[in-house]
Amino acid sequence: MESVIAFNIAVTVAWWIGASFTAFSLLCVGVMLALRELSASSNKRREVVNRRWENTLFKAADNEFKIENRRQLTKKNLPHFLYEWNYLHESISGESKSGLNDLGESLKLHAMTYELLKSPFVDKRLMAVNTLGNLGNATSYPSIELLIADRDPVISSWAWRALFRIDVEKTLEKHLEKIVSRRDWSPIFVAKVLKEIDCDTLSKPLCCLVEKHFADGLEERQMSRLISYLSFTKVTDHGEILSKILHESDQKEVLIACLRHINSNEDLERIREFINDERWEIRLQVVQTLGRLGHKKDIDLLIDATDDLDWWVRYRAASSLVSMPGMTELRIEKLTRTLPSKFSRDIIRQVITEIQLLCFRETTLTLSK
Amino acid sequence: MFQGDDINFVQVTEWLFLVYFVALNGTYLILTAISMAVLPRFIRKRSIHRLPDPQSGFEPPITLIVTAYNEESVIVPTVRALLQLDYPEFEILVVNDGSKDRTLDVLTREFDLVELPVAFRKRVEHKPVRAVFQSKTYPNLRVIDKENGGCKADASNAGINGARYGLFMPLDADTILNRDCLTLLVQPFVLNADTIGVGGNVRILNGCSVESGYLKKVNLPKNWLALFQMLEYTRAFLTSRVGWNRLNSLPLISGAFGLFNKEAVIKVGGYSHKSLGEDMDLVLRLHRHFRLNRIPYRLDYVADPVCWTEAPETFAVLKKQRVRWQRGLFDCLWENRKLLFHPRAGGVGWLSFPFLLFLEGISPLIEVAGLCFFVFCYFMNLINYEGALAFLLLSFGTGFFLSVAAILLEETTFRTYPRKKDFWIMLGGAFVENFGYRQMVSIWRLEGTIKWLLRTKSSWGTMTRNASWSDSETAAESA
Repeated sequence: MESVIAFNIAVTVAWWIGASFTAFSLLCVGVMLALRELSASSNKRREVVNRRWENTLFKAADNEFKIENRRQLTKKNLPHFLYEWNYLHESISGESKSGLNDLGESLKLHAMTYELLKSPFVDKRLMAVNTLGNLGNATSYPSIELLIADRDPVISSWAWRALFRIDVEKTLEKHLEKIVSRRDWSPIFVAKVLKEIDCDTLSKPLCCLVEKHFADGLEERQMSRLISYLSFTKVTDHGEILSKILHESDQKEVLIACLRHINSNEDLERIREFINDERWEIRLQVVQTLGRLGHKKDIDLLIDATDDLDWWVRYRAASSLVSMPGMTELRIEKLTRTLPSKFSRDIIRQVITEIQLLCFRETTLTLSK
Repeated sequence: MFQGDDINFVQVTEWLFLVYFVALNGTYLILTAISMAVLPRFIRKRSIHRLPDPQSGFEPPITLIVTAYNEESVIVPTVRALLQLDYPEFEILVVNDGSKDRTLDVLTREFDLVELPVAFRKRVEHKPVRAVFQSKTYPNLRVIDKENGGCKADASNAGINGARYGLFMPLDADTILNRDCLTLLVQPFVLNADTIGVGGNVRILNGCSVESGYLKKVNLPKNWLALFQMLEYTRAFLTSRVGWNRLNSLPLISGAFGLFNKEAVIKVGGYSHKSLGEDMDLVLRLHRHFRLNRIPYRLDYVADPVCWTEAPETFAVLKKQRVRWQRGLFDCLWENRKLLFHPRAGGVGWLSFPFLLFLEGISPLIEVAGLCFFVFCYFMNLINYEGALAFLLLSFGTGFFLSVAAILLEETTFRTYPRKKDFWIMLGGAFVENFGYRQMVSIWRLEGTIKWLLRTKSSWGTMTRNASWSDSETAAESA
C-alpha cells in the first residue's frame, strides 16, 4: 500500500531540526577535540616550565639566587611560570618573598605581567593582578587602582588586596572604605586581607571607619559585618567604639556582633541588662560573653539562664556556668541537686557529661578545679 | 483504506508531538546556552583560588547530617573522610535510622562512642530518639540512634533537631566529598545573608577508586547503566541547575549534597514525611513560604563543590529509583501547587514549576505515547519510511546534542575525565543512550506516574550498594 503521507510540513520540520542538531553535535565534538589538543600542549608546556624553573624558584625563595644565573622567560611560558611563582609566594613569608621578588625583577616580570592585565581571560587578569601585588612595584598602583571599580567582585576584591600589598598606608587611606561600599565582596576574603595587615597600622583607621558608619546609621547587616572586622584591631582602640554601640544600638545583628567582641569589664552592667532581652539570639550571646569575662557575680545570672525558654540559651548558659571561676565539680554537683528547675538540672548534667567525655578540650570547656 | 479524517488525525498528532518536543528541548537548550555563558567564566575566576589560601576564621560553622539505614559497609570510611574535611569548624551528626544491621555497633567500636544524657529538643517531627552518643576520640562527632521512620526525611529531621550549628548539610552514608567542598559551598551564605540554601554538584562514584574515604582516582563507570546515569547527572548539574539558578528559579537542591539554613528549614516544618521526593519538596516549600510571604531569600547553586555518590548498576534497582523519583516529582508538584502561576511566585511559579509539570512531568507519557504512535502508524502505513526516520532523527539529534553540549561544558570547565579514551566512551554513551536507555527510563517514569495517580502504596525502598569503589579497608569492614 502506498504511503498516505509522503511529506508534510511537520515531517520536514522534524527532519531539519534533527539534522541540524546532529550536525551541531558533530561540530561540538570537533571543538572538544581541538580543545583537548590545546590542553595537552598546555600541560606539556607547564611540565617543561616546572622542570626548568623549579630549582631557580626554590633558590630564589632561599635567597640563594644569583642574577647572572637567570634564564629567559618567554611569553608563552609566562602564565605557567606566574602560577608557580605566585604559588610559592603565597606559601612563604618574610625574607623569602623578597628573594622571589628579586627573581621577578631580574626577569622583568613586572613589564611582562602588566600586559596580561588586558587579557580577555579573567583567570589571566586575576593572576596578573596578584603578581603585580606580590611584586609590590609602586608604578603598577594606578593601573590596579582602576580595577577596584570593576563590576566583577572577584576582580575588584583581588585588585584591592594587591593594592594593600603594594602600599598599605595609601590603600588604608584611600580604599579602606570599600569594605562598606562593596557589599558584593566576600567578607571572608576581606577578613583574610585585613588579617595580613599589621595590627598597629590597621587598628586606628578601621576603628574610625566603624565609628563613622555607626554615626551615619549604616544598614544593620553591613554594620554587624564591619564590627566583626574589629577583631583585627587593638582592644585599646576598639573598646570605646564597641561600648558606644552597645549603649546606643538596638539592632539585633549589631548587638550580637558587639557582644561577640567585647572583652572589657567596663560594659558589664550594660551586658547584664540584655540577659532579659526578648530576642533569644541576644540572650545567647550575653551568656557566652558573661562566661568569657568570668565574673563571680554573674554566676547567679547564669544559673537563672539555665532555665531559659530557649534550649540554646540554656545550653550556652550551662557551658558558661561550669567554666566560671570557683565552680568546682563539688559545687556544681551540689548546685545541680538543689536547682528547682528540671530544665536547669538536665542541661547542666548534659554539659558536665560532655566535658568529662571530652577531657582533652580543656581550653574551651572545662570544669574549674 | 484510510480516509481523509485518518490523515488529518495523523498530521495533527504529528504536530502535537513536534510542538511538545520543541518546547521541552527548547527549554533544555536555553538552559544549556545560559550555562555555557555563565559556567566557564565562573570556573576561570575560581582558578585563582588554587593558590594557597589560609582560612580567615570567619567561616560559619556547619553540621553535617549523615543519615544511615543499614550502612555498616560504608559508614566508617565515610565518617573518617568527613572528619578530614578542610573547614575550620564543623560537626558530624550521624543519624542511625533504626538500622537492622551493625551500623551502630561499627560506629561505636570505631569512634569510641558513649551515651550522652541529652535533653533532645524536638522542633520538627520525627520518630522517637533512643539515645545520643558522643565520640570520645572526636569531639565533633555525635550519633543519634532513633527508631526507623521509614524514610530519609524522618532521619534528616532528627538530625536538624540535633544540629548545633546554624547551617546544616544532609548527606547519604555513601557520599564522598571533595576536601574543599564546604569552603566553596558556604560562599553564597557569606556573600548574601538572605541565602537559605545552596546546592552543589553531584557526580557518579562508580568506577572511581577511593582510599581512606577520599577519591584516589577518578574513572568513568565500567557499567553501561552507570555511564548513562553519569551523563544524566552531567546534564542535570552542569546545564539545568546552572541555568535555573541564573533565572533565580532553582526548583531542586539535591538531597545528596546541599547546605541549608537550619532556622529557615524549621520554619517550613523540616522535611516532609509524605513526599517521596523530600529534597525537591523542601526546596519548593521554601520557595512557597518565602515568596508568598514576601520575605527576601535566595536559593543558590554552585557548580564547583563536588560530592560523589554511587549510582545503581542493575535494572531492578534503577527502575525502583526512577519510579520513586517520578512519584516524588508529582508529590512535590501537587503539594506545592499553590506556586503555579501565583502572582508572587516569580521565576519558580512562572518558569521552573510549569516546566516541571507540563514538560518534564508528563514527558514520559508523551514520549511513550509518541513511540507507540509512530510504530503503529509505520506498520499501518499511515506514515512512510521517511516520515518515521525524520522523527527518529529529531529525537536522536536533540538528545545527542544535549548530552554532547553537557560534555562540552564539562570539557571546558572541570575536565574530570582527562583521558582520551574516557572522552570517546562518554561520546559513545551519549550516542547509545538514545537507543533503548532513554525509552526504558520513560517507561519506568510512566509507571511512576500511573502509580502516583492510582495512589498505590509507596515505599522508600533500599538502595543496594555495590561499593566497588571502596578501598580494602572498607572491603574488610564489609566482610
